[in-house]
Amino acid sequence: MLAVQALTVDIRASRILDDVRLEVGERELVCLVGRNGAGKTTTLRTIMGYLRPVAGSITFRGRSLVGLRTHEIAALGVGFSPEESEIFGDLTVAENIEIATWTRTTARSAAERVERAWALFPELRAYAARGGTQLSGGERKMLSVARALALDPELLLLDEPFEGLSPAILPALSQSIAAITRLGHGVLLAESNIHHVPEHTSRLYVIERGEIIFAGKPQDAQRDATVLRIIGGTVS
Amino acid sequence: MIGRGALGLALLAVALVPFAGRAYYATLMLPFFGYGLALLGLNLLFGYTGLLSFGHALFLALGAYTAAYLTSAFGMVHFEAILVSAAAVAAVVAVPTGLLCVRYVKIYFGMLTLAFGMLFYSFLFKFYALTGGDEGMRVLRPKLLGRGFDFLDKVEFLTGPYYFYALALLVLGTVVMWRIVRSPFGLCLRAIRENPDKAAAVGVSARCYRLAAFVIAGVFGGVGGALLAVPTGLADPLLAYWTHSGNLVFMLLLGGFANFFGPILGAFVFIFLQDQVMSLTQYWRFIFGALLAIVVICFPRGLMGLFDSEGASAAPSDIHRQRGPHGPLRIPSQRGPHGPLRTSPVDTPAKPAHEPLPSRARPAGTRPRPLIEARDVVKLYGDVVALDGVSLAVREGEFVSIIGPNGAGKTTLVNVLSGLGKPSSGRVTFKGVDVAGIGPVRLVRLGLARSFQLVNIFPGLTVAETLAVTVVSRLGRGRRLLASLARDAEVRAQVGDVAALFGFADRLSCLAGTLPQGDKKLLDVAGAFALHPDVILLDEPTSGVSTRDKHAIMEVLVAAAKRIAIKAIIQVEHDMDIVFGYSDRIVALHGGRLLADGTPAEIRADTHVVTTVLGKRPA
Amino acid sequence: MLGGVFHAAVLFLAAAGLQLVFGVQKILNLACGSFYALGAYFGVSLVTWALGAGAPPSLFLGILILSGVLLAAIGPPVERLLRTIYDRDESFQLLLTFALVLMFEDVIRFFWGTAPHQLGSVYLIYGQLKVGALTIPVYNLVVIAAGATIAAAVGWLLTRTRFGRLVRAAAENPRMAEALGIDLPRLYSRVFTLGVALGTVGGALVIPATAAMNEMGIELIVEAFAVVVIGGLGSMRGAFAGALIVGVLKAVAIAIYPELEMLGIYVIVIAVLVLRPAGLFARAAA
Repeated sequence: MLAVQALTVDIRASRILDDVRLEVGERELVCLVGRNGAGKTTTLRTIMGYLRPVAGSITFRGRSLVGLRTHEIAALGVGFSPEESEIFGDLTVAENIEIATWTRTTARSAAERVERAWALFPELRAYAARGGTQLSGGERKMLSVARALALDPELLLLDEPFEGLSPAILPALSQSIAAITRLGHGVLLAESNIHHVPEHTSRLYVIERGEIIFAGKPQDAQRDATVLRIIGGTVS
Repeated sequence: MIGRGALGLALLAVALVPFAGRAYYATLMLPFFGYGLALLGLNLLFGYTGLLSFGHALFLALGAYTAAYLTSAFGMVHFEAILVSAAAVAAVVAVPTGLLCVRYVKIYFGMLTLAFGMLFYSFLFKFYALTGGDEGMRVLRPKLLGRGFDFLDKVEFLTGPYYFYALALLVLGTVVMWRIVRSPFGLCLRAIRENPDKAAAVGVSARCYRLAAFVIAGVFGGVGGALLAVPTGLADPLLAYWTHSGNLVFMLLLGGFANFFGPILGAFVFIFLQDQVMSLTQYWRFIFGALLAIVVICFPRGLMGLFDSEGASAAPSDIHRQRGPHGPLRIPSQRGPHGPLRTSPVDTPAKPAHEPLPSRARPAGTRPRPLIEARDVVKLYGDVVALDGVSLAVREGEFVSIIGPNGAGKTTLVNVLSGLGKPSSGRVTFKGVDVAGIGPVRLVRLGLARSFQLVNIFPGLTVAETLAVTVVSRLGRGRRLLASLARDAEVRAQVGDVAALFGFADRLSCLAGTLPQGDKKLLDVAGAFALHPDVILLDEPTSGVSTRDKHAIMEVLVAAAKRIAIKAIIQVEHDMDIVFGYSDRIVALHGGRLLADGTPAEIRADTHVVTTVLGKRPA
Repeated sequence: MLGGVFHAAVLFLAAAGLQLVFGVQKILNLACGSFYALGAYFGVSLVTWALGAGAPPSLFLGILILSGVLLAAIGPPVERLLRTIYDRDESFQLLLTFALVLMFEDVIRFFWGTAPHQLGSVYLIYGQLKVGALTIPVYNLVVIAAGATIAAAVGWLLTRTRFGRLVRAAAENPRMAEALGIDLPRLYSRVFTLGVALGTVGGALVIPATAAMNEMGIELIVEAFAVVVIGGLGSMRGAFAGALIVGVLKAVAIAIYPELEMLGIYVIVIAVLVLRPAGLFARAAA
């Protein structure tokens, strides 16, 4: 569904991504793992059209995304939940979710899409009328994912959905993300802690200093010494 | 840069105007002198310090009204006295307004200056009895150097003695301003423009320097205003109107604020273009508006930007270009062919049992007083608890590493320790002084420096200038307004020293913004070392650097710390090889709480730490 | 006093346009005064032409509002020009709008010359109200009512409609709004046009009471600017309160001690900036 080829990105003359290749298939959960500053966020933001690559291609269902504006990419069916959640504090929780149904129409009705978002994060429903600023960090994360889901995207980009969350709610969120793939969406998830990678991950990429240094099954990554050295934080 | 020849030629041409051609052109040049002077000041504020004033016309009006008052009301016609008074009045007004204005930057600064300008305008306009209202006040012909030149008629006076007097003043003003921007003071202004937070972190207080720049700009404006008022013979309220301020900024932009001579060229082109366009059409404002729009959109660096491909930073000081016998270029580079990291005396990585920091030699048995101490520090961001009752003491001779997963509060702790963030409760002391939230500038003076987790540099300054800012700050040179930075041997020597230590010796003239990511961070660290602090806080000094280079960097740091006699190092680090290889003590944070505090051996044995921080699952 | 409220109503419209554009696009539009002046001149011309063509004089209020709305058509092209510098330093944005001020000044001179334009006494057609010794043209009350109505309508638009929610989302976080499929350029164009319309309608409404003059634009911008600073940049409620404060204060000052007319306002502006730089009624955009 999504194919990234030889992606190279510079930010202010510094090379941030170098020859990044990755793929996400239908209903797949794919993880991009790397440390802070390794290039995960840059990869997702480039796919979303915020940054223009100097080289390489990004194709989504056979269509090149390079050069499209961000809102056009969203309209094609790519949802995005950024690292800092970036929910709209000036709008209520319900409005945050509804926004996505106004900008893109799909086969599903708006009511159904909102309902699916609520169903995935039932905790949020209680806060529907609250302002976005009144949520805790974890709730913001959930709202951000729920909002991206309400766009009814075919592919969801989640940037560190587990970051800053208490360990207690991690399993629940992990379950919800698994449920998203069962609903028929592909997911590309960026994560800095390899132990947070959900169990049903179909493929895992490890990125370090802007280069993909590992691609394969999560279990193999856990056995790979270089990978562990860089992202596992193991004492040698 | 414009060559000296071109400059001399331009000066000669201007000096010859009264002799060649009609008097008309000479009279046209007169406002140019006044505006040129005022714009030199305005550019110190905008081009060098990064503050856009939309009320600078206030100072021109002050100068003009001072001239009017002295000549018409008090019969004081000596122009020298008038100029000095104009400068003094401008300074007296600039200090209080500046104190209020420089607390804000960007759009708020622009609005506040605009409000002050309009305040003065409505005063001039409404208080008829004092100011003559909309008719303004007459400015009488002054005596120049005590001579009245009564035998000359008005035009002869203006295109004769007054012309050269004004020209001389502009030249004098230019020389003074040239020295100001090339002084240590000027360098600090540019550092503040580039990154005020980073400037504060090396001990340069943005507010003080901005105020100084504001007052200098005001004085130049006042003198320029007095100079303008004599040819027109009138001081009227429109001089203070906001559109006049807008025109000043227009001239500045037209010439190019990134270049020292841009404002002067801008004033010249503006005045002559206005004259020409006005004679062609009554709709000159439209033409000028369109011209301004084109300049803003297509040539943001102005006319000078067309000639000067290097003007990104306003007139870079020549500290690194000096090729005298003692210039930094002569410092033997220890750097090998593969980047800066080979400067380390020890090239082989991983020599875990590092030598102790220098001041560690102490009488056995006495525990030295903590240099820096945090007690029960709580830090809240809204309802998020970033630090939850953390206590920590670091003593002389210690190398302490702070570890913990993302969001554990490591950077928050460093911020609180370095005076950036005020703890919500609890105490932080440094050398026994309560330093909670006192800000980095004062902490630097006390002897504490830090580097940042994210790249924090002055992108538009060169490597040499970046280090020079730090050295200038430490030596207290920032107050030297007219001293030449390039000729300051002590600053140069110290910059060369630190540059050599960190492997920047042969890249002194690189712009910091163009360095590779890892080197930007290293430059930040080098700057912190150049402050010669007692304690240094390093927030992930080696992140963004490949694993194999990390040890080399650490060796450089330890060697530098020894050479500069740093008493304690506190670092935040993720790489456990580094942490265990170099630390005397390790502090583990998790969820804003202190998880463990002990020697590397103790930490390694702590299963709780190993599972939560080191990410190993229990076997 | 009532004169102050009348002035406040008009001032609110112009300041609301300024606020809206600043709140969403983060551009402090100096040219909002020019839109106001253009609205005034265009209003005079359109009403004069309509009356000459035989339109019933009692309709002139409608014609004025219509003229303001028609004139808002200059919004999209002007916004297109500003779009070139959205990602630049705000100093440049300020300067580009200053360039617009210069250009519009001469546009007005070109079409309408330098003499003041007046509508005459057509505004008396709505009659006058006698309260004690005072005679108040009913038209002034109509304008005050119109100002209040527009204030309420804009408030409703921003808080209760889909468009308003999208605008608020884009104002708070434009990058994220894009990722949710909001077409920012189109939204900006609409918001800017709405801002222009508020200014031009304000200018059109004022001219029956005063003449359209060359300087009215650059004079209004400093007043509107005082309004937004007192009320808080980007806040609609602030614009409303700020306009009332400035309008009434001006009227009171003129009645008591004319020298203080604008001086007093700037003193308040400076005091507010120094004590509460976010304004008296600061709130997130809109």
